[in-house]
Amino acid sequence: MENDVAVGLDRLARFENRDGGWGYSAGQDSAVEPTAATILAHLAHSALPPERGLVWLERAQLADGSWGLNAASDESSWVTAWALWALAFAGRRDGRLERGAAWLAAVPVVSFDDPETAPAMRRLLEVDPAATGWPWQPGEASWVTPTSIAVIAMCWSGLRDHPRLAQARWYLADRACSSGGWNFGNPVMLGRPIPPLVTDTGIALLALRQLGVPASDADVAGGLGWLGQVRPEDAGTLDRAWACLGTGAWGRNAGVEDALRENVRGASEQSPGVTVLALAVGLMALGPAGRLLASVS
Amino acid sequence: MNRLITRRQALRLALLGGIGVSLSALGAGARRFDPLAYSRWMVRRAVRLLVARKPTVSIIRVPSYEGDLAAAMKRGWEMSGGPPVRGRKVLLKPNLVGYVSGPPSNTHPAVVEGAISLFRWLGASEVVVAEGMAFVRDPWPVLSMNGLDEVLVRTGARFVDLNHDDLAEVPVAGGYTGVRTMSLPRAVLRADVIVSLPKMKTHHWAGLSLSMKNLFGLIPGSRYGWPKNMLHVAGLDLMVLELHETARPAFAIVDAVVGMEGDGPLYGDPVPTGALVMGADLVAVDATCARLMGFDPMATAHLRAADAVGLGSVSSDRVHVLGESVAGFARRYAAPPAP
Repeated sequence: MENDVAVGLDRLARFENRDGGWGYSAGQDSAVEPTAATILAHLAHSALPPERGLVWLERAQLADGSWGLNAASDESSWVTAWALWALAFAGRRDGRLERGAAWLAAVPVVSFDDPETAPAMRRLLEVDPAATGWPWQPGEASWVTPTSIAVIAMCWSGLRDHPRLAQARWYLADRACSSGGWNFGNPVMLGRPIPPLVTDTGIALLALRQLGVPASDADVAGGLGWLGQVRPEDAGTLDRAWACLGTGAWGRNAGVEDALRENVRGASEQSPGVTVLALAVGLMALGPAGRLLASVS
Repeated sequence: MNRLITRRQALRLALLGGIGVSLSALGAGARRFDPLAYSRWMVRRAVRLLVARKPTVSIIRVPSYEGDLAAAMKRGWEMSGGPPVRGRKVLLKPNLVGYVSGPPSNTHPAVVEGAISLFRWLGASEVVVAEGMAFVRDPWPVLSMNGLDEVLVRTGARFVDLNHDDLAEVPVAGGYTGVRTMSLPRAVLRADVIVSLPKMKTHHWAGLSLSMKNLFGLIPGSRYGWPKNMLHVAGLDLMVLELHETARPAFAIVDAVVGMEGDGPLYGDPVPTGALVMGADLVAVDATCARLMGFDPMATAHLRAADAVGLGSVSSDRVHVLGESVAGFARRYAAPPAP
């Protein structure tokens, strides 16, 4: 194992809470997303995942199969996809995974294809209102990040052929920015292009790789092209991590990898921007990105 | 013919008028009629109109960000008055939306630094800077591009990323939207004094983005997603009121040294206005800012609704302006594009 990675994993271990989970930042309550990312950070480097973290994650599952933001939350949330990704990769394939995957596959999302809303959506946002992915919260609109994480979780959960994945592919194509890349999901607002964002673009590129989209695809090329121009000073640790994951999935190097390694090496409670989540995703990114995906053809 | 009316008649008229205004202002968002809530709003409005002292808003001329902003803020604070600060924890909430270089869409770091100095001078036990950015998950590039990271280092003030803070579920205090509870960051809930530090600007959805609209940045993205659309769906204008009543901001300092007109919140054009606008009644502060920008505050839905439920003072007759006059800044801001 590389020294940077060993140092980073050691640091992550120091941020573990007494209950076995990890918070978004040191000293915060355990939450599903950073705990799942920590498990994935280990698995990305073939390290043994933290058992206490896996147990914390399993215990945090809600009765309907979903996960809330943290163990105290009883509201189903987008982080369900993170939990499924981590548990499936860790080989915890039992009834919990099935129930979680069933919830994710069925989570309701708003479609704006009614005759009143659709024209307004087309006019104001220049998007196809019928294209849907996954929402942050059940019953809400689709957005790029929850859609992309859900795509990966669905594939890891054995639902690679589910029709929602084709919908998600359509959604991601529809929401790509004209300059290449993605933002949260509105490429245009009132006739003005909204620029892409690093984290959203990295996540979307990882999802498209998971979907088996060819490298010649215009959205992939656009995303990689835009991400290739990102300078280290344009991106914080979390951004750098997702940039490396997104480009690494396509066999490319992001120009921010050296800066990310520095973040991972130097991370401590005192380093602004190097949160526990950023450190965990950073460690995920320093491994072979393809390893984080469910068998890509 | 003029006629005199009794205090009792005036109160009755105010209540009836208030109910009428409220029904029209709130009708779109209120999920069901709640007579207790309506009664509370109307009594509050009547008290504000008939009994309460006029809130004071101070306008301080500040030609550029190079000057002594802390001294300007002290003058404004002494004029407008504010809540007790000594020994209390203060949370400063700037408006940091920008990842687009060029337009002055963010609160200037010099204003944040001035506010840190002001509240430390007033004896705050702690001053933190906190924001939950609407579009980005990683706040650090925005802090860096904005120059706020240097202010944080220079002052030693801590930044709290409200999007990823620990959360607590709290009852929604206003009752305008039908939303019963809301997750808020612990940093917001443990603060004794929340200070809104917005940029003066126009906004294509809200009309104006000032100290009240700035409260949307208190909403945690980890819970509601980015760009906080879920609560916009509940009714942006009424959710602004819910946030005001639930988080209870105690003071506002509006960065109008250089404001932004046109296509806000991101793509507007700079308007050198040369002022800080300060006060403890956020509705009055925002209404004064609206007039300073050349807009009728009652044309902005969330200010109209705030007036209807007695959350603050909108009418110029009901706001005591000290320092510079609104007329001294007569410069019409270009309106945002209509959706």
